[in-house]
Parts: sequence; structure tokens; C-alpha cells
Amino acid sequence: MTDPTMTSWYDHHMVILSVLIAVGASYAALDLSARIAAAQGTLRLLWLVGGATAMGQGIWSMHYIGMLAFHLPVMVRYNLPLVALSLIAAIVSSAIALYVVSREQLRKTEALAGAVVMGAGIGAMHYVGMAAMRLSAACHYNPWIVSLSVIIAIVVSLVALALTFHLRHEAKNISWLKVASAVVMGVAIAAMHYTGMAAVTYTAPADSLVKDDPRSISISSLGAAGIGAVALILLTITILTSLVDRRFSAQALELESSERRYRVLFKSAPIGVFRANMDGHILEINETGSKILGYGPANQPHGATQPLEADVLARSGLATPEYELRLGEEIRGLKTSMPCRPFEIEHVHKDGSHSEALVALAVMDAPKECVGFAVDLTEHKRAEAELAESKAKLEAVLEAATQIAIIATDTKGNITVFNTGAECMLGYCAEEIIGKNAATLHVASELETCGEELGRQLGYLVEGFDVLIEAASHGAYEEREWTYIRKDGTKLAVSLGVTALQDWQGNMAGFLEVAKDITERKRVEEELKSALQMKSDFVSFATHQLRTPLAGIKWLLELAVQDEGIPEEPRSLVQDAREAADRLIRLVNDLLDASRLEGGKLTLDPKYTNLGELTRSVLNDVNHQIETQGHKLSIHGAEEIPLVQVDPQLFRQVILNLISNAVKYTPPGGTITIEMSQDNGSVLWSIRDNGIGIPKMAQARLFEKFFRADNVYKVETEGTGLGLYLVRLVVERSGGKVWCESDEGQGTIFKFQLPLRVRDET
Amino acid sequence: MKPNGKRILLAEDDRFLRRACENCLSKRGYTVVLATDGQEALESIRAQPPDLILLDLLMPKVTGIEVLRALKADEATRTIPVLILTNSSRESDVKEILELGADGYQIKANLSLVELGSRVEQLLGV
Repeated sequence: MTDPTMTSWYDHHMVILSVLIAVGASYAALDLSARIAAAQGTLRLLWLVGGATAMGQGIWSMHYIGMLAFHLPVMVRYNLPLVALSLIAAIVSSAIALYVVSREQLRKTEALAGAVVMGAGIGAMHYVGMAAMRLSAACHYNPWIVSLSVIIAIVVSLVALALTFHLRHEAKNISWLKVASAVVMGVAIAAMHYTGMAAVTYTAPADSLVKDDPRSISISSLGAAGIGAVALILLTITILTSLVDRRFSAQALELESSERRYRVLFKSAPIGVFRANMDGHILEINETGSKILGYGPANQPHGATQPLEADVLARSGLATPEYELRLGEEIRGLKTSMPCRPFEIEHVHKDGSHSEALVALAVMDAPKECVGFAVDLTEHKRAEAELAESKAKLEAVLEAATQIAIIATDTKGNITVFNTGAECMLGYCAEEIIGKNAATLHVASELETCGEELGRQLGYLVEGFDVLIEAASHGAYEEREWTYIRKDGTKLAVSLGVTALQDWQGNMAGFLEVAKDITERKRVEEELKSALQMKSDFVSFATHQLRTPLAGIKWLLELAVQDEGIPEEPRSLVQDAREAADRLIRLVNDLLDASRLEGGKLTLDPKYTNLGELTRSVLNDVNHQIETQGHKLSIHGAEEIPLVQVDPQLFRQVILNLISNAVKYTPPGGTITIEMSQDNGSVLWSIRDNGIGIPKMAQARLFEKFFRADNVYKVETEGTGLGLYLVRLVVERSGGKVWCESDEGQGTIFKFQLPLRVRDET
Repeated sequence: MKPNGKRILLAEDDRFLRRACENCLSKRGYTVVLATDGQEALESIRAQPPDLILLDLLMPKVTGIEVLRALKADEATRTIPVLILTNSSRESDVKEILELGADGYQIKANLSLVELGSRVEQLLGV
């Protein structure tokens, strides 16, 4: 042999077939990764094993066909165990590759490790396959090219893993990107293979004898074609299976999410949703529906998704027969899947409560059953009924109020309500006045005057209807007297209360005017006023007329007493007559004072007054009487008492009356104590005696005009019953109060209290 | 001649009061000139001005207030002291009287003749 290197050549058809198989295997790998990733548990393992087998077998086939495409001038046989080992290497490396790319995440290190293992596997498969060759030639491996082929295998694996991982979610069954990737990967695998092939040179052996290997077989061209066909068929089946699975899986996924959507809608719908069979028995109902239709959630023994059998419902006493009948009747009445006109049903719960619901139904064809929707109307109906009831009540009230005019207006004053009382009072009927402005019922000049006054106070113009509602529009209630004009033009005095009306959101909605006819009250007031005036005038006149002759009697008797020529007996008589005249004059004076205080004619003339000094001055006047009676009198606090603003003349009278009473109604040798003190912004003046006291019964009426307690007649009969009345009038008109504390037979305390006004230093 | 010779005009329409008053003052030595209504009083005063005028308020023809006003409006009579003797205690009257320049004001029923005597003495400066 001159040239040891054997001539070799490639069968181009076989080469093309091998490349096709490589592309097919790559495509299968891309497709399978997605299926494996989508599958769970055992299914995932099955997909992994099946996929790895198909893919590994594809790569292996490509390899063998590539080898079979290589023709040597010698007979080539193959060692079967090594062929099998190479197939296993291909399958294992495919499995590793598929496992790596089907994981949720692909880290760089994982990708690299996967690529190394896969590349090494492919390389191993390749060189084990070559080692399986049995031929009468020596083969020499170029280590550089071998290394290159392994590196190519690893790089191809890395690219393949990355591509596969990124393309695994490609939803379409056939995408051009996937196909392109598969072509790149297939060509790359083929390139690795043919690089590997190029690493070997075969030379004729020295002994030129092939050891006979009993486990080796020869593969014919037909065999190679067979391997290729099987590989392609297997890959095609794999890809088709994947395709079908993908479709089913997508459908299942769609179905599942649709079911989930339906569940969410069903469970969380704010209206009741149920399914019922064509007899009206409810098969399934959501929680809202259970509440609305009275199947309480606690009474759903099988849970919401479990159909509630009619007998279960009946046993639980929740569905009344009438209700089921009604539902069945409505369902049977349904002809098409068009929703029926919603209808209302009502039913009574077991606990006796009553509820109402609005139900709409639609029939579904397969299965033949019915879908229903229910809205709770119980609250709505109750509110509706309440509204109607309160409206009726209000109308009845408005109707029944015939003595009071009730007029409601909008915010502009246009009348919206005009009740029977208003009709009676003003002579309009509601129809003709509603819509007109409430200001037209008033005397214009009165509104104008009041508006001007308000304008001065508020600093802005107020006129027309606004005058009436000025206070009410600021949230206040105002009642004042106005004059209404009746339809016939006559006038009517009313007391009118105005309040603002608010709508349910709290916005100003209008005004309510409530008017009382005060004609009668005004007339009575006028009469009373004139009667009081007449009485007061009469008393003033009468007292004047009485005082003049009394003064005459008094003076003439005084002159008579002075006449020295009169004997002792007649002089004494004249003296008594004079005293009687004096008493009569005092009575007339008291009457006159009372009358004037009552009529308000006697105006107080308050001055800063020292009650201590005033008391001492009065005591000075009555000292004679006190000494005659042998009373012991003490006075406390007179020096510390602050000045009070009272009418000194009238208070002199008050103190005199109180001291005189104590002196008069205390048996000789009594003890009288006057005390003055200051407390909490007021001044307290009191007089205590240990006299006859005042009966409990009499105490309440003590300060009434002309009242005299029963027990005073034992002491003297000359009192007028006006003294304490005058005391009360004066004290009360000075802003104070007077009272007494007494036990009959024990003594009496009279007290009056006066507010201590802040003294004006100017 | 009476001891002090002072002339007092007494204008009073009630005859009992007039008598009692005249009696009392005469005993004290005054010359008492009587008038029964306001007009008479004014005429008397203008004819011969007295040293003191005791004036009732409610009198026929011309009231005491009008007399007082006329007296105070006249240079010749405005300095004569005037003591109002009345039984009316209307506040408006009291106020007006004092504003017009009366020298005093007494409720007759509440006044004794002894007190009247002292008041007259005081006003005449005797």
C-alpha cells in the first residue's frame, strides 16, 4: 500500500436525511420543553421520559445516518452493545437538557452546567458510536478536531438550551421563530457530527484482517434508510402528540379559568344567583341568594356548590310550597332563553319574618334548566311603605290642623304646601296660592320696615321674602308677629314661626312657616291693658280724692287737740279720731303705692344705697315702739355690706315694713336680730324674731295682695294686707327675691336677696 | 300787725284744708291771703307779691303747675319761694314741679300742721 489513508466519500442523500433528522429532533426538543413545563407530577415525568427518548433517538439516528453516509472502501460492521450505549447516551443527555429547560427558572450556571453535560453526552454518543465501528482499517483521531467537536457540542447545547427555554411559552403550534431555531440547532448538531467525523482518518491496517466480532452487524443502505424513517416517524409522532396535548391543555386551561371566573361571579355577586330545575327546585344557589330567598347559609348542608335537593329545602322549612310553586309556574311559562319579565315573590320565613324579592329567570337548553337572579326587595318595600305611611300621616296632620296655618316654601319663598288651616285663615285655596311667593301674603310696608331694621343691624340689604327667613336661614328659629293679608284684603294678626327645611343630604330645601291667629289674643291683651289702665287711673284718682278730705280731717283734728279750752275727755276722743284718720291715710297710701307698682307707673329710681345706713335710719324712726315693747334688738354686718343699686325711698319702705312686722308680731320682751351679709354676687338682708310665727298654710300666700295670716288678728286688727305685698313688688322689681322661714309659735325670719351690680366707677 | 308780718298766699280749692291751714298759720302770726283757684292766686300775687306761696296743684280754672310756670316766667314773681302742697303723687308732676323751680313739695295727707309750720318757717328764713 503506497497510501495508507483510505479514500472515503459521503452519500449526499444520507447527509441531507441526517440534517433533516437533526432539525426534526431540535424542533421536537423545543416543542417538548413547553409540554414538560406545563405538566405536573407523573405526567411531567412521562413527558420527560417520552420526550427524551424521542429526542435522543432522533439525535442518535442523525448520528448513525451521518455515519452511514460515510463510505469507506472496506466493509464496516457495528458492535451492537456500543451502539446501544451510544443510544442511551443520547437519550440521557436529551433528558438532562429537557429537564433543565422545563424548570421554572434558568440560571446561567444551570444553563452552563446543562450545556456541558448535554454537549459531553452528545460527544460521548458520537465517539461511542464511532467506537462501535468494526472495520478492517485503523482509525486515527486528530485530538484537536475531537476537542473542537466537543466544544461545538457544548456551545450548540448552550444555544439550544437558551433557545428552548425562551421559546417554550410560544403559544402557537408552529411558529417561524421556532422553526428557524430548530433549523439552526439541527444544522449545528450536524456540524458537530461532521466535525467529529473529520477528526478521524482511516488507514489500512498492517495485518489487514478484521477481528471477527460476533456481536457486530453490518448495516445496509436500506437499514440506514430504515433508521432514518423510524426516527422521522417517531419524531413526527412526538411533535403531533405534543401539538394535540397543547391544544387540549389550552382548552382545559381555558375551561378552568372560565369555571373560576364563573365561581367568582357566582359567589361574590351582590345579587342572588341560582340554578333551578324545570320544576322550580333550586339546584344551586349563592350566599346572597340564600339570604334573599330565605335559605340561610347555615341551612345549606352541602355547601354552595352542591345542589340543594328540594326535599332538603322542604325539610329545613325554608322553601314554602307556595314559593316553590310560584317559581315552577314561572319557569314552565318560559318559552325561550330570553330572560323573562322580572317578577316579585314574597315568602314567610320559618321564624315568621316576611321577605320580598325581585326574581328574573332564563332557561338554558342543555341541560334543560333555569338560571335565576334575585334582588332583595324587603328593605326597599319596607322603606316604601314607611314613606307612604309617613306621607299619609303628614298629609293628615296638615289636613287636620285647621287652627294653625302651615305653609312650606322653597328656598326662594314660592309656596309648596298650603294646609287646611292656611286655607281657613287666609281664604285662598291651596291650588290658587301654591307657586306664589309667601311674601305676597304679608303687608308690604311691614316687611319693608323690618327689612330696614335688619339691614341696619346686619349691614346688608334685606327685602321681600328674605326678611321673613333671615333668622331661619342661619339655623335659628324665629317667632314674631306679622300681619297677613287675606284673599279678600282684610288683615289678620298672626304669630309666625319660621324654620328652615333640610333635604336628606342636609342642604337647605326651603322654609316652613307656622302661623297662629293672634287676633283674639291681641284683643284680650288690649282689653287687659286698658282695664289695667282704667283700674290704675281709678285708684290714682280715688286715692287723691280720698286723701284730700282725709288731710282735712287730720288737720282739723290736730287744730282741735291744740285748743286748750277743750276738756280732757273730748280731747282724748279727738286724739283717737286723729289717729284713726292717720291709719286711714296710711292704708290709702299703701293702696296707691301698690296700684302704681302694679301698673308700672312708679318707676324705680335706683341709686347706690347703703342698706346698713338705711336700716339704722329706719330703726331710729321706730325706736320708740321697740322700746315700748321691751324688745332686745341687735344688728350685724351693717358695716361690711356693699352698696346696692336700689331705689332708696322704696327700700326704706321695704325695711320699715319688715321691721314693723317683727316688732308688732313679737310679744313684749322679744329678741329681734337683723343681719346683713354678702354672698356670691348678691346681698342678703334678714330679720329674725321669736314672735308668734306664721302658720305653714299661710306662708305660701304671705306675699299676696290683701292676704293676712289667721293668727295676726290675735295681735292687732289694723293691718292692711298690703305691707308684704309691697315688699315683694319692690324687691322683685329691683331684681331680687324675698321669702320667709317660720315655725308657728317659734318665730319668723324674713330674708331678701338683691343682686350686687358691678359698681360703675365713672 | 302780726308779730312777724310775713305775707303768705295760700292757693287751695278745698275749704276744709283752706280753713285748717289758715288757722294754723294765722296762729303763728303770718298774714294769710287766700285764693280758691289758680286764676285768683295769680291775680292776687301780681297785685301784691307775698313772701311765700303755698300752692295746691289740682285747682279749677288754672292749675297749680300753670301758676308755677307763670310765676317763674315773670321777673317780678320768680324769686318768691313756692311750696307745693298736693295730694297727688304723680311722678311726672313731681319732676316738673322741681324742674320749674318750686322750693318744696309735700303730700298734704302725710303732713301734720306742726310739720307744715316748721317747713314755712324754714322757707321764710324766720
